[in-house]
Amino acid sequence: MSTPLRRRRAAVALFVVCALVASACSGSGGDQASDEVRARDGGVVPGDAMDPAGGSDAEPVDRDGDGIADAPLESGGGAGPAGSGGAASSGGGAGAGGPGRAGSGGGSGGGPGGGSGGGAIRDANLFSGAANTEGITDDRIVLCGHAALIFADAFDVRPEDLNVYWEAVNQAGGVHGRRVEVSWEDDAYNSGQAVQAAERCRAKRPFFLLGGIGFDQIPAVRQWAEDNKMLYLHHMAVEAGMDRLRYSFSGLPSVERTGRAFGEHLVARHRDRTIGIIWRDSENWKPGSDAGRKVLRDHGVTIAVDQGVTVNQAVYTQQILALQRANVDVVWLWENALTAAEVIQQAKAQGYNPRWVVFPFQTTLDIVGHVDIEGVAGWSAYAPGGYEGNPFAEFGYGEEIRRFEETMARYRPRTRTNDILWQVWVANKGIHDMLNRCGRDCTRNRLAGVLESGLRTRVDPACLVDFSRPDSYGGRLGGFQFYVLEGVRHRSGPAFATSRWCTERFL
Amino acid sequence: MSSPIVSIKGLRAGFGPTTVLHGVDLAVGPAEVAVLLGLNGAGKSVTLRVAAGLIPAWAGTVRLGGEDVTTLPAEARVGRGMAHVTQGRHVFPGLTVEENLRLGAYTLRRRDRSRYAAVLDSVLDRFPRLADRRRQLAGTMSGGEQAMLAVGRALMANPRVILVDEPSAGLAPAAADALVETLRGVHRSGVAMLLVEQNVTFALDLADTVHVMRQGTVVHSAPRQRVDQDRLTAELGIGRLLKGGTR
Amino acid sequence: MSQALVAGVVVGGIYGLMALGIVLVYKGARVLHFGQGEIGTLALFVAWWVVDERQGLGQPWLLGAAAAVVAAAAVSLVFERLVVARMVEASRLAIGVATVGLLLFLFSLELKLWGASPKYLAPPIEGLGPRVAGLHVSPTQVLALVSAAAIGLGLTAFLRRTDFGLGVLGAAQDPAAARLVGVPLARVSVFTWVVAGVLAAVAALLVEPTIGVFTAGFMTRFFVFALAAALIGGLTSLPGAFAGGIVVGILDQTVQYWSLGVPVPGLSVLAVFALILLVLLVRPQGLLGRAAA
Ligand SMILES: Nc1ncnc2c1ncn2[C@@H]1O[C@H](COP(=O)(O)OP(=O)(O)OP(=O)(O)O)[C@@H](O)[C@H]1O
Ligand SMILES: [Mg+2]
Repeated sequence: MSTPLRRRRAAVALFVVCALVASACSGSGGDQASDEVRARDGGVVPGDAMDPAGGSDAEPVDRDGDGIADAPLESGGGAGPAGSGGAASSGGGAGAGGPGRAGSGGGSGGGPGGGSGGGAIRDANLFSGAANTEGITDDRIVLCGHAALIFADAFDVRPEDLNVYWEAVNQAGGVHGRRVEVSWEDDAYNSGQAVQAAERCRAKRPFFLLGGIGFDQIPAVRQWAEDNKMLYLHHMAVEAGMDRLRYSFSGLPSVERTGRAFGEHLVARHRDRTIGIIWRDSENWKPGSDAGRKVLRDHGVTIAVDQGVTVNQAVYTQQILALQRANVDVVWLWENALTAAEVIQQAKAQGYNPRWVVFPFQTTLDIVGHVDIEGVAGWSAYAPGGYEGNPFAEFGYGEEIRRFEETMARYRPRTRTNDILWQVWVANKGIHDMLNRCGRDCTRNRLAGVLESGLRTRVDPACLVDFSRPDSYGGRLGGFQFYVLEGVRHRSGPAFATSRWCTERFL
Repeated sequence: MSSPIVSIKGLRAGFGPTTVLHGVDLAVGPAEVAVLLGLNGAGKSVTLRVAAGLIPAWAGTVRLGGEDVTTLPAEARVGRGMAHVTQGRHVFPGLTVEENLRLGAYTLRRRDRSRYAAVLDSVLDRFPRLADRRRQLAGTMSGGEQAMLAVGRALMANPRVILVDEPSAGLAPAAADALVETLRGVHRSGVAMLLVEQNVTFALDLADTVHVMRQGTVVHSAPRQRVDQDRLTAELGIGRLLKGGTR
Repeated sequence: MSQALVAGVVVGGIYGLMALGIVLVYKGARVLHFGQGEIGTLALFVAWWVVDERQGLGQPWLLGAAAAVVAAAAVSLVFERLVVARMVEASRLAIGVATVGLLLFLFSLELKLWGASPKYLAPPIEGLGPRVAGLHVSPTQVLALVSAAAIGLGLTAFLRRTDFGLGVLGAAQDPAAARLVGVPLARVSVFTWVVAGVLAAVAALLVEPTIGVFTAGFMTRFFVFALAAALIGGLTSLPGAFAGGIVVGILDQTVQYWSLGVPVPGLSVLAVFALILLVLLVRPQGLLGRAAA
């Protein structure tokens, strides 16, 4: 009566607890970068991939070398409130909300981000013989990813919806004439099962392995990838242990950097208010809250309440009472989407309604039903039709949302678009960019070499990915920039709007 | 003999591939005590359990007061007047003595609740030990007390016939004697009885009719006075023949 | 501290409610019903579907609750008829394993029908509720506590006072003996599983507003604590299950209160397990269990 899949699913229910993360992003392997996909007749056509010389004047890299994410500011002329400074919220309300013209200008046409920063690409030395070209033939690239598919429907996403981007690319001729075939295995938001999912992926002999969101799965699979010599492109994970890794890469910020960004955001935005932290007390989460706490302390901000919670605690009464007793009015909730919703709901039942700072997933807003929520993220906000009047035209934000919606409407007319599909779309663009850069003779060593050689690229509407920095672990960690998302009233209901764009330092 | 209260004809039954009863014939007359004797494994308990409906019959018939009950489930036979005290005295250990007795009257109370009090009184009269322990959990009682409770519970259904499987097993002589007396009393009150008993003295003491089983069939049946004693000795392997009864 | 006590009682009501069903099935069938929680979750989904205005039918809460109860009863009935009834000769452990199968099946079914997306069902009675020792105790929580106590006592009375109830108890202790006194085992079994299903639905409906969100697997998350409550109460005592729930809740919340800021995760869970061990060692029949039951 129970297929292995069901058994897997149930195991989660029982033990890992659904509660874990509503894991938001079921999809999204990797990383954001690259452009090269332009709308034409409603379709998606990969641009001339390699564009090594490309975008010289769109080069978004931080000119002034202070590490501040001014990159995006450069490419557009418009009213970009993104970059510098703390007063970022100017665009908050308008982001997804107001009426207005569709984004135009800078982002849409121009595009591709910079070339690789480190000059010539040196192939990595990770694979030899046939292993170097496994998963790639003259006409096909096979990819496989692990993701919390059990939560995919949590966000009304079906696994096949994750691949619409590639269907469009393939229909337009593929990448260097190769079809890109991506399949997904369920990791049930659980590290042990993620390794099993990776094993199943390996049986399909992919070119590389993708790792979907989940702070706990990725470190386990990273080690597996090392042991099994599998090229692995993954979502956010802790830095701890990265210096020993050779096969794993990520274009997203690490857990530690994300935590630090939350800390900086709190200082910048809320330092005069009473701040509390509720954080998940587990190995792969704690480094993030630790990093954020350190930022707050370093800036002399007192933390009125600082409480760890266990995985799947379900009842948060004592933590909420502690926050309430201390009159905390801004709570940083370092937890997954489902737990965040639980905590906020339980606080509401105590008549306690502070400002919540969380990972900004639409599902949290949908449940909680109000918008006194904000968050720092590695992705930009999505609301249906959100290209109207968006204030980040220079990033091609509105253009890309339009392209995304048109493509989805064409390939999946019955799927409701949402923030998760949007994130996956943008991530797929980044992967597309990497494959383009890897070229016609792409091999695994070449692809890894592209990153190790210090790729710097920005693909609208994603942030700069920079594998050339000294703190990139030798070209394995390329994400250093963040968005700020804030709850707004949108005609579709409560939604997030992007209020800061591609910011590395908030202070 | 007037028409029997229980009549078993050509009864075959068993477990899986094994046939245990190979065509059992026996009858119990109204207000009669029929004793079923036989070696271990002869099929006495199985006969009683098939008669009570706990084990399905493969062939043959079981009649109760003339009605064919062969295919009726056990719970339906109780209501028609057949009670069964199984080997091992299965009382409900987690229920009190009184609750056990009340469950015994499950069908009676459904039919006619007003008679319950009277039946309870009569049973408690018969078993004064139980009357003293109405609120004690059955599982905490002694073996003899549990044996009484098992019989008492069966009587609560106000049966026409009661099938009793080795009531004296494991009891001290004094307790066994007390039980014999009680059963004799039950019999006197007009209840027919089909009794399986290892203790031949005890059995013959009560019996009106004696049936001897061997390997799933009844090989000898006779009124107590006319039991073929040599046959009995041979069938039961008893060296010293017990004299059949001075009542 | 008094806040922790109040919170403990409130949270204990959750565990107690769910423990009732576990105890009922244990009493009636000598089986640990691992599917108990998930039947509640399924019922909750049904209620949500009937009540939700955007994705469901937009009907009043009471109608949703009624549908939930009916659904839970129906699922339990089908499970009893199709599985339990055919396992009469099977070991109790085998039936316990079958309930795990039910749990897995329901979990998959929920995902299939409603997705894993977190859902929210409004409480039966809105509003913050009175403040007790600085804690808002919601009307639903009061209702949950009262219901748990009432169900515990009411069911106990039903089982001890009525013939059918005694038959249920007797059937669990000795099925053959129960048949021989005329207890209809098939009906007893249906009763046991269906009522447990109804209890699961009631528990889920009353627990959900306290947690605030639910997904597939929701009630199963509380199974371990509910089982702890049942064990501490004696596993065969319904009022004991309620009392056990309160004990577990108070222990959990008090330890959480005292360990706020202590850098050891999960202390309260440890405390609950320690208590289970202690009870099993010192008073294996549980707080309110009877020695021979
Ligand atoms: N449930 C069962 N499954 C399989 N075989 C059984 C079962 N019950 C009884 N038997 C077999 O049926 C035969 C008759 O058993 P039964 O219990 O009727 O014997 P008995 O005459 O009552 O013996 P005793 O005097 O020892 O009680 C035996 O061989 C026994 O092993
Ligand atoms: Mg026998």
